[in-house]
Amino acid sequence: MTNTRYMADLLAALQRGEVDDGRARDLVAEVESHIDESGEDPLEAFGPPDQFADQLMSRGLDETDAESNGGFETRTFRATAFDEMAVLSGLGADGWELVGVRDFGLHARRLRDARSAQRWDYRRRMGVRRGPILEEMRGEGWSPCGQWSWFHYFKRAV
Amino acid sequence: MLDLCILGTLRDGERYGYDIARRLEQAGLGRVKGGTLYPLLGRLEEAALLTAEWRPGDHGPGRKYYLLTGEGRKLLDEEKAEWQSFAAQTTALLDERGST
Repeated sequence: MTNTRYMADLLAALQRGEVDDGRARDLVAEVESHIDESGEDPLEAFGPPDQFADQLMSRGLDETDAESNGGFETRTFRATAFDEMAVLSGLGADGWELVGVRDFGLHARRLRDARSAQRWDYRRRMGVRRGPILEEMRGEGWSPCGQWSWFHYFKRAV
Repeated sequence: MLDLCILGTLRDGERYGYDIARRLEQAGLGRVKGGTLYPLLGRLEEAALLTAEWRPGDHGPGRKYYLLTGEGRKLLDEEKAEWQSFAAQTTALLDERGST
Protein backbone atom coordinates (compact mmCIF):
# COMPACT_ATOMS: atom_id res chain seq x y z
CA MET A 1 0.00 0.00 0.00
CA THR A 2 1.48 3.39 -0.96
CA ASN A 3 1.64 6.17 1.64
CA THR A 4 -0.83 8.27 -0.36
CA ARG A 5 -3.27 5.37 -0.49
CA TYR A 6 -2.93 4.79 3.27
CA MET A 7 -3.67 8.45 4.07
CA ALA A 8 -6.70 8.42 1.73
CA ASP A 9 -8.05 5.21 3.31
CA LEU A 10 -7.51 6.55 6.82
CA LEU A 11 -9.29 9.80 5.99
CA ALA A 12 -12.19 7.86 4.45
CA ALA A 13 -12.44 5.61 7.55
CA LEU A 14 -12.51 8.63 9.87
CA GLN A 15 -15.15 10.33 7.72
CA ARG A 16 -17.27 7.18 7.76
CA GLY A 17 -17.03 7.35 11.55
CA GLU A 18 -18.44 10.88 11.33
CA VAL A 19 -15.32 12.52 12.70
CA ASP A 20 -15.47 16.26 12.07
CA ASP A 21 -13.66 17.03 8.78
CA GLY A 22 -11.09 19.41 10.30
CA ARG A 23 -10.29 16.92 13.05
CA ALA A 24 -9.98 14.03 10.54
CA ARG A 25 -7.56 16.03 8.35
CA ASP A 26 -5.54 16.99 11.44
CA LEU A 27 -5.19 13.32 12.45
CA VAL A 28 -4.15 12.28 8.94
CA ALA A 29 -1.64 15.15 8.72
CA GLU A 30 -0.06 13.99 11.97
CA VAL A 31 0.33 10.44 10.62
CA GLU A 32 1.78 11.87 7.41
CA SER A 33 4.23 14.00 9.39
CA HIS A 34 5.35 10.96 11.41
CA ILE A 35 5.86 8.81 8.29
CA ASP A 36 7.62 11.64 6.49
CA GLU A 37 10.13 11.93 9.30
CA SER A 38 10.56 8.29 10.35
CA GLY A 39 10.53 6.76 6.88
CA GLU A 40 8.38 3.93 8.31
CA ASP A 41 5.76 2.01 6.38
CA PRO A 42 2.38 3.37 7.59
CA LEU A 43 0.73 -0.05 7.55
CA GLU A 44 3.53 -1.43 9.71
CA ALA A 45 3.64 1.54 12.12
CA PHE A 46 -0.10 2.27 12.48
CA GLY A 47 -1.86 -0.93 11.42
CA PRO A 48 -4.71 -1.20 8.89
CA PRO A 49 -6.43 2.20 8.33
CA ASP A 50 -9.86 0.97 9.50
CA GLN A 51 -8.48 -0.41 12.75
CA PHE A 52 -6.34 2.64 13.42
CA ALA A 53 -9.33 4.92 12.78
CA ASP A 54 -11.32 2.93 15.37
CA GLN A 55 -8.55 3.43 17.94
CA LEU A 56 -8.45 7.15 17.24
CA MET A 57 -12.22 7.50 17.44
CA SER A 58 -12.65 5.69 20.74
CA ARG A 59 -11.30 8.82 22.42
CA GLY A 60 -14.64 10.60 22.62
CA LEU A 61 -16.48 8.22 24.91
CA ASP A 62 -18.11 10.88 27.05
CA GLU A 63 -21.83 11.34 26.41
CA THR A 64 -23.47 8.87 24.08
CA ASP A 65 -27.07 8.84 22.96
CA ALA A 66 -29.20 7.05 25.54
CA GLU A 67 -31.78 6.02 22.94
CA SER A 68 -29.27 4.06 20.87
CA ASN A 69 -27.61 2.57 23.92
CA GLY A 70 -30.37 0.68 25.71
CA GLY A 71 -31.20 3.60 28.00
CA PHE A 72 -27.65 3.86 29.32
CA GLU A 73 -25.47 6.93 29.36
CA THR A 74 -21.73 6.30 29.25
CA ARG A 75 -19.04 8.48 30.72
CA THR A 76 -15.28 8.49 31.26
CA PHE A 77 -14.03 9.40 34.72
CA ARG A 78 -10.50 10.52 35.43
CA ALA A 79 -8.58 8.29 37.84
CA THR A 80 -5.15 6.80 38.34
CA ALA A 81 -3.86 3.53 39.74
CA PHE A 82 -3.48 5.31 43.08
CA ASP A 83 -6.93 6.79 43.60
CA GLU A 84 -9.20 4.73 41.38
CA MET A 85 -10.64 2.51 44.14
CA ALA A 86 -11.92 5.57 46.01
CA VAL A 87 -13.37 6.93 42.77
CA LEU A 88 -14.95 3.56 41.94
CA SER A 89 -16.50 3.23 45.36
CA GLY A 90 -18.32 6.52 44.85
CA LEU A 91 -19.33 5.64 41.30
CA GLY A 92 -20.70 2.22 42.27
CA ALA A 93 -22.86 3.79 44.98
CA ASP A 94 -24.23 6.22 42.37
CA GLY A 95 -25.18 3.40 40.01
CA TRP A 96 -22.23 3.63 37.60
CA GLU A 97 -21.16 0.29 36.17
CA LEU A 98 -17.51 0.05 35.11
CA VAL A 99 -17.16 -1.29 31.56
CA GLY A 100 -13.46 -0.68 30.93
CA VAL A 101 -10.23 0.85 32.22
CA ARG A 102 -7.76 2.77 30.08
CA ASP A 103 -5.20 5.59 30.28
CA PHE A 104 -6.25 7.51 33.40
CA GLY A 105 -9.86 6.78 32.48
CA LEU A 106 -12.61 4.66 34.00
CA HIS A 107 -15.26 4.02 31.37
CA ALA A 108 -18.62 3.54 33.02
CA ARG A 109 -22.30 3.42 32.15
CA ARG A 110 -25.49 4.10 34.06
CA LEU A 111 -29.18 4.02 33.30
CA ARG A 112 -30.45 7.48 32.36
CA ASP A 113 -33.03 7.01 35.05
CA ALA A 114 -30.41 7.03 37.81
CA ARG A 115 -32.90 6.15 40.57
CA SER A 116 -33.50 2.69 39.11
CA ALA A 117 -29.83 2.05 38.32
CA GLN A 118 -28.15 -0.98 39.86
CA ARG A 119 -25.53 -0.26 42.55
CA TRP A 120 -22.05 -1.85 42.27
CA ASP A 121 -19.18 -2.95 44.48
CA TYR A 122 -15.63 -2.98 43.10
CA ARG A 123 -12.46 -4.86 43.95
CA ARG A 124 -8.94 -4.62 42.60
CA ARG A 125 -6.48 -7.50 42.55
CA MET A 126 -2.82 -7.28 41.65
CA GLY A 127 -0.87 -10.01 39.94
CA VAL A 128 1.14 -10.95 36.89
CA ARG A 129 -0.88 -14.08 36.19
CA ARG A 130 -4.48 -13.16 35.45
CA GLY A 131 -5.87 -16.70 35.11
CA PRO A 132 -5.80 -17.82 38.76
CA ILE A 133 -7.09 -14.41 39.94
CA LEU A 134 -10.03 -14.63 37.53
CA GLU A 135 -10.89 -18.11 38.68
CA GLU A 136 -10.79 -17.20 42.36
CA MET A 137 -12.80 -13.99 41.95
CA ARG A 138 -15.43 -15.62 39.72
CA GLY A 139 -15.84 -18.28 42.41
CA GLU A 140 -16.82 -15.48 44.80
CA GLY A 141 -19.33 -13.96 42.37
CA TRP A 142 -17.17 -11.18 40.93
CA SER A 143 -17.08 -10.34 37.20
CA PRO A 144 -13.98 -8.90 35.51
CA CYS A 145 -14.53 -5.35 34.25
CA GLY A 146 -11.11 -4.00 33.33
CA GLN A 147 -7.37 -4.47 33.42
CA TRP A 148 -4.48 -2.02 33.54
CA SER A 149 -0.98 -3.55 33.54
CA TRP A 150 -0.96 -5.88 36.54
CA PHE A 151 -4.12 -4.42 38.12
CA HIS A 152 -7.28 -6.44 37.58
CA TYR A 153 -10.72 -4.93 38.31
CA PHE A 154 -13.87 -6.75 39.31
CA LYS A 155 -17.47 -5.73 39.86
CA ARG A 156 -20.38 -7.28 41.72
CA ALA A 157 -23.96 -6.06 41.90
CA VAL A 158 -24.90 -4.88 45.41
CA MET B 1 2.61 3.46 32.55
CA LEU B 2 3.16 4.57 28.94
CA ASP B 3 0.83 7.54 29.41
CA LEU B 4 2.86 8.71 32.40
CA CYS B 5 6.15 8.22 30.50
CA ILE B 6 4.78 10.33 27.64
CA LEU B 7 4.00 13.14 30.08
CA GLY B 8 7.55 12.68 31.43
CA THR B 9 9.13 13.26 28.00
CA LEU B 10 7.43 16.67 27.96
CA ARG B 11 8.59 17.81 31.37
CA ASP B 12 11.45 19.90 29.96
CA GLY B 13 9.58 21.32 27.00
CA GLU B 14 7.49 20.66 23.94
CA ARG B 15 8.00 17.76 21.55
CA TYR B 16 6.23 16.40 18.47
CA GLY B 17 4.99 12.81 18.10
CA TYR B 18 7.98 11.22 16.40
CA ASP B 19 10.35 13.03 18.77
CA ILE B 20 8.40 11.60 21.76
CA ALA B 21 8.67 8.10 20.22
CA ARG B 22 12.45 8.51 19.84
CA ARG B 23 12.83 9.80 23.40
CA LEU B 24 10.90 6.79 24.77
CA GLU B 25 13.11 4.47 22.73
CA GLN B 26 16.29 6.17 24.00
CA ALA B 27 14.99 5.72 27.53
CA GLY B 28 14.90 1.96 26.94
CA LEU B 29 11.15 1.50 26.53
CA GLY B 30 11.56 0.00 23.07
CA ARG B 31 9.98 1.25 19.89
CA VAL B 32 6.46 2.50 20.61
CA LYS B 33 4.45 2.19 17.43
CA GLY B 34 2.58 5.14 16.00
CA GLY B 35 -0.61 3.10 16.26
CA THR B 36 -0.17 3.09 20.05
CA LEU B 37 1.33 6.53 20.55
CA TYR B 38 -1.08 8.82 18.70
CA PRO B 39 -4.35 7.54 20.20
CA LEU B 40 -2.73 8.01 23.63
CA LEU B 41 -1.59 11.55 22.78
CA GLY B 42 -5.13 12.26 21.62
CA ARG B 43 -6.62 11.09 24.90
CA LEU B 44 -4.09 13.01 26.98
CA GLU B 45 -4.91 16.11 24.94
CA GLU B 46 -8.61 15.48 25.40
CA ALA B 47 -8.10 15.15 29.15
CA ALA B 48 -6.48 18.63 29.02
CA LEU B 49 -3.16 17.26 30.29
CA LEU B 50 -1.52 18.36 27.02
CA THR B 51 -2.09 21.11 24.48
CA ALA B 52 -0.93 20.89 20.90
CA GLU B 53 0.04 23.30 18.14
CA TRP B 54 0.97 22.83 14.47
CA ARG B 55 4.16 24.43 13.16
CA PRO B 56 5.11 24.48 9.50
CA GLY B 57 8.23 22.51 8.47
CA ASP B 58 10.68 23.07 5.61
CA HIS B 59 8.79 20.47 3.61
CA GLY B 60 5.93 18.04 4.19
CA PRO B 61 2.94 18.66 6.45
CA GLY B 62 4.83 20.29 9.37
CA ARG B 63 4.86 19.06 12.96
CA LYS B 64 2.29 18.98 15.73
CA TYR B 65 4.01 19.96 18.99
CA TYR B 66 2.69 18.85 22.37
CA LEU B 67 3.14 20.79 25.59
CA LEU B 68 2.23 19.90 29.19
CA THR B 69 -0.59 21.98 30.67
CA GLY B 70 -0.49 23.09 34.30
CA GLU B 71 -2.82 20.22 35.11
CA GLY B 72 -0.59 17.77 33.21
CA ARG B 73 2.47 18.92 35.13
CA LYS B 74 0.62 18.64 38.44
CA LEU B 75 -0.55 15.10 37.63
CA LEU B 76 2.98 14.14 36.54
CA ASP B 77 4.43 15.38 39.85
CA GLU B 78 1.78 13.57 41.90
CA GLU B 79 2.12 10.33 39.98
CA LYS B 80 5.91 10.48 40.14
CA ALA B 81 5.79 10.74 43.93
CA GLU B 82 3.29 7.85 44.16
CA TRP B 83 5.33 5.75 41.78
CA GLN B 84 8.54 6.34 43.73
CA SER B 85 6.83 5.36 46.95
CA PHE B 86 5.31 2.23 45.37
CA ALA B 87 8.68 1.26 43.81
CA ALA B 88 10.51 1.80 47.13
CA GLN B 89 8.03 -0.37 49.03
CA THR B 90 8.19 -3.12 46.41
CA THR B 91 12.00 -3.02 46.33
CA ALA B 92 12.12 -3.25 50.13
CA LEU B 93 9.80 -6.25 50.01
CA LEU B 94 11.86 -7.98 47.32
CA ASP B 95 15.04 -7.37 49.34
CA GLU B 96 13.52 -8.58 52.59
CA ARG B 97 15.27 -11.56 54.07
CA GLY B 98 14.75 -13.40 57.28
CA SER B 99 12.51 -10.86 59.04
CA THR B 100 9.23 -12.11 60.46
